[in-house]
Amino acid sequence: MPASPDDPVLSLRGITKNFAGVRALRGVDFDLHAGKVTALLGENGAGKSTLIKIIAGAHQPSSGEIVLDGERTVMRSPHVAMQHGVAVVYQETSLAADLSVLENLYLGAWKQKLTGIDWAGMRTEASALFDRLGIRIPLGARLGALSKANAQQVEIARAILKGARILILDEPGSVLNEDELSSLHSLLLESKENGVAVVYITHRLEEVFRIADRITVMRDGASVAYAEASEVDEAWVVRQMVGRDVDTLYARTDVPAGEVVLSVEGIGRKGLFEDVTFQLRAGEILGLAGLVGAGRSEVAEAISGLLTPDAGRILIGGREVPSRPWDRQDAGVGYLAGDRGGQGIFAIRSVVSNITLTTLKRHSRAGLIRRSSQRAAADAAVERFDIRPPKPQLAIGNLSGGNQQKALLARVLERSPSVLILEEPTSGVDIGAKEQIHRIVDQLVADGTAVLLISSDLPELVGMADRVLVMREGRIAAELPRGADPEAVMSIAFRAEGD
Amino acid sequence: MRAETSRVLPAVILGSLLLATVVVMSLLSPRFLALSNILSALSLAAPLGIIAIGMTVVILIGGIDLSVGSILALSTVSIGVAAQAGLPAWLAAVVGLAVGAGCGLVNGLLVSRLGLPSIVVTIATMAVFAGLALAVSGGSSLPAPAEFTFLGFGRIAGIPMPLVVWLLVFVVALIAISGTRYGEHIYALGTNPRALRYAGLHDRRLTASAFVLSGLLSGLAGLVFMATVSSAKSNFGQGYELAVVTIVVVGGAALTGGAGTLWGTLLATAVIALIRNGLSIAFVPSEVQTLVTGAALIVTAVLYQWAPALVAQLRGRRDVPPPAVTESVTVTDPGSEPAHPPAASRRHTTKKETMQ
Amino acid sequence: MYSDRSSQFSIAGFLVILLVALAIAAPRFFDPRNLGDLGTTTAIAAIVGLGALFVIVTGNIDVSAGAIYGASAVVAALAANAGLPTPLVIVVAVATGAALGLVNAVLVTLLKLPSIIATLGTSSLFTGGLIAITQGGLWVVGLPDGFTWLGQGSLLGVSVPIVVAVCVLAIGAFALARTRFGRRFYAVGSNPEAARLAGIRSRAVEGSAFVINGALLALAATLTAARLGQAQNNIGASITIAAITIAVVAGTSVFGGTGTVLGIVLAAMLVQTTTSALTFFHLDPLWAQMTQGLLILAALILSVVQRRRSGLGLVPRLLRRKEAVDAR
Repeated sequence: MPASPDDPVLSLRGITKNFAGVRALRGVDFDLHAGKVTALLGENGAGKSTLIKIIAGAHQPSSGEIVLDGERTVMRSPHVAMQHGVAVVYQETSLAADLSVLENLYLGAWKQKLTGIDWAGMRTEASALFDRLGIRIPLGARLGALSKANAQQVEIARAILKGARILILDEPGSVLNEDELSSLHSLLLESKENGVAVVYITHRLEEVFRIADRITVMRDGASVAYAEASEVDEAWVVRQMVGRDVDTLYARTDVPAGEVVLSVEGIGRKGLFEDVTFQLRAGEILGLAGLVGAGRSEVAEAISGLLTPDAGRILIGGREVPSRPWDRQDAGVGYLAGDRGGQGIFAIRSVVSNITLTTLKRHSRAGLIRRSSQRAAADAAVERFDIRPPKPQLAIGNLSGGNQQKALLARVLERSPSVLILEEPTSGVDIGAKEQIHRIVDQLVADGTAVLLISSDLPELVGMADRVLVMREGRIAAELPRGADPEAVMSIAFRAEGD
Repeated sequence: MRAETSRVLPAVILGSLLLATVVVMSLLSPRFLALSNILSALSLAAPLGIIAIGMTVVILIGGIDLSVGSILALSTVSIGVAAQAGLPAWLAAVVGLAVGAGCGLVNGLLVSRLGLPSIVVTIATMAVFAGLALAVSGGSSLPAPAEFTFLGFGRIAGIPMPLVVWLLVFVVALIAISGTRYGEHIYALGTNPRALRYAGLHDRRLTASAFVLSGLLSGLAGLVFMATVSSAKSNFGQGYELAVVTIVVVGGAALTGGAGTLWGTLLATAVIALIRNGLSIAFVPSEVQTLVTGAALIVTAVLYQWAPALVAQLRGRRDVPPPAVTESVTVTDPGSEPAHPPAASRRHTTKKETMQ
Repeated sequence: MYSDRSSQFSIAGFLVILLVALAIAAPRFFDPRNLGDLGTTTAIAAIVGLGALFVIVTGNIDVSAGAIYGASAVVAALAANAGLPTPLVIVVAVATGAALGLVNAVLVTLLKLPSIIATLGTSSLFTGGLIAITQGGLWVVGLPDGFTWLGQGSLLGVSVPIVVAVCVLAIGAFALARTRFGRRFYAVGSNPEAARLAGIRSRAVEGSAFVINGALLALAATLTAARLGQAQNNIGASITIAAITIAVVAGTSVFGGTGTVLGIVLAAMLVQTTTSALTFFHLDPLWAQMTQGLLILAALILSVVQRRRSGLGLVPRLLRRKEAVDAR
């Protein structure tokens, strides 16, 4: 038990975390007090999710300690963390989609009576809980049929039901409308009164000041600022989040904008994005900023033919091209997706194989692949992009994230696209490689390629792009010129509607 | 992923298995090691070997085809009926192959277009094709055209024809799978179906093609088998799916897809063929042979599953995690956006934790 | 739940159509003797279907069902002929089935083999093993009356197998709907990770599904042996596909997590009526298997169409991965 009510119920000291040579967390100190809501803020990539996973027992820290109720604790696994009273509500639901809401609330802990499971008793208790929390979801509904917002509410209700002492919410607001948000907040107020310590990860500033007692800001893997919510304002938060010097304007060759190669006209897809319109010219870099969930990836997928919009149209080089990945690629669209593991690499295949997979035709004669030709192309790419280790016969899964990224970029560029969509191209890449990639992109653009750059690295975005579109909640909120203030971009990106 | 261990170990296991088989079988009967016996044993296993090649491709993409035996049966009776209807022998043979490919296409479409799990689909089509075979043949045995005699009993350079055909198919398949674009795409599809679509390749077409290939080769196997028994009956091929899956698994292919080689399948076919032959000439009853096949499947599967971890432990590496099992239920998400991406990508997130 | 109800309605609907067609085309199908026989075989099929339900709900498959069935039938027949009292015969047979199911359980949960491989292997292991062990005890005939009563007798006017089936299904339905033991199967089948996090021992649950399936198959086989007055080893040849057909037609998702006992009962009725109709028209039993294959495909395609129409995500899980490193 904590020695006094002022002592934190959970304390993280000097937590570091390394992933295969990349330092995700560099010595984080973090305190949680019972009965208080702590907002955890930071850009994409600041390390918030990693920190949360450590608290929840999903990752083990490389060094540092976790102190729970004054005692050193090891969160060996998610199950152990749960037993210590830690409950996490992620953005992707971790409940059983085929079972009812009621059953999910009591999963693994069904109430019993003499003649079996006490469904009636569970229903009564759950109804009461839902009423108290203002949740209006039928208990008999199938969980998989619920909207994300509702599923989230069920998860929170479940955590409360299990008597969680530390409740962590990962971007809960991103899927809720105003009403649902209010319900959520009153729900959290209830929990506070019961002594629960809440961690609330969000980007939405007005939420922060509505609900949080304390604010912790993370940047580049460390916690850089900590304050009582009542003592600071929006501007302070933004400044802490962006922080670093934006003095280096990324060197760009001046290129006169050419013809329009990509025209996106009023495309929309229910629940993902709406009324998105813009044009992209040869020789220009168009930046697309916005938070995760704002719709950037989905727009990229729509352009690449992986997603078909319900409305509007997309013209590549002035023509309508069927919405299929192969057709769009044949028409000159290249897409480097954001999720390396799921959408990009073939982990157990060699680097050679990964790089040349989509351009094997040119290395084939009479149907047979000429391995020397294939290998030569891979060697050239390895050299051009400085892929390490320079052993392209290795399985790509053995390479670090940054080198995998470079190999993927190499693959996309093998087809010499005229419209190149880069999504988080330098994520997980070290400084030296970052610069290399930027130089390559600059050269491509100077040679006439049109680039759509999606990046959560704001300095990179405002430094490289000729102009920046900011997306928010599925729509384009603003357009900013090159060299705009990253703080300005950030502010637009997460100001909620009505501001 | 330690690439070296993961490729050497299965080869070592398979090699040892082959060696053990030869040793045990020759101990069981002195007649085993005669060249004529070995050739005969391999020739007898030719239909299985041909089907196993097709099955390997299907398993490479993460699916399974349990209808191969029934496709074989349907092909043979189709040939028989076509021959009886007066078609020249070569045309009847083509009919058989076309029927096989057609059956494969049905499987392929159900799996790739509708996203149905190949395991259940092919259990169902196994029954349907068998029923069709019965319908087509009317339950009776049909004679094979006289021209098939050479295929069934002839020899080239002392090697029985069925074996020749099998080896030819193997060589063509090997070239196709290891040396062409198609092969590279197949391996990629089995490794990460989602990424394949993102890379702009025809994931669904590729999926269906694997099943068509399996069906086609089952038809070819039927042709060869028919030639060796000079007849066609609707109950041919029963139980083949067990033998062929056993072969492919013993050969080192993983049911999750993306791993496995045709060489492994070839060697494994030889192992199974020699086991069966050795047991028969030692007058071991057929039920024991069935038992041994089942045991071989289980033992080998367990070995492949646990050997890497065991080896790592022997080497004193404590950071190698125990094997993860994947239950292959369906092949490819046919383009519709997955509702739960974490589950889909979990398979491809290796033990290395990923950032964020 | 919506999807359960609607699939139950579909099955019932098809059944009604089928019965009406039969009433018109072959009114003699409804002779009391024929109907009685149909009722008995349906009851036995429902027991088999219940076993399959357990395995499929947890996301696995058991293609050794036929082998277990055959082996248990022979064991029961041998036990009956050896003079054992009928209750003991049942116990011996069910124990055999459970033991065989346990082998599957061990292979899948402890040795972590994919269930298709494990059960393909045990299928031939059990079949070959039985023949080898019994050395010719392949065809047991002339079973004593005390035993055949189990399959041919009646209790209060209702045939014994139906009584047994009703009891077993009632217990099964109760367990699956109203006990923690039963609900765990659904939890594990729907989301093994979530189940594990919730403190459910997923592997034990999966293993017990195989054991239960083995026991139920043995019970059904015993009833059949009693009914026929004899037992052949290949009696189980068509059982594997019949079991899967009933489970799939019942609306059990092949990905796990859903399935009802009521669905099983309705599906058993539909499948058996179809099979029986074929026999009635003197068609080869092989047609029955083909029909079952078509029923499986029809049920699968219907479920896909239903999902697409209601806009639910298709195939949320491409592959199911059982992490060897348990979260606990």
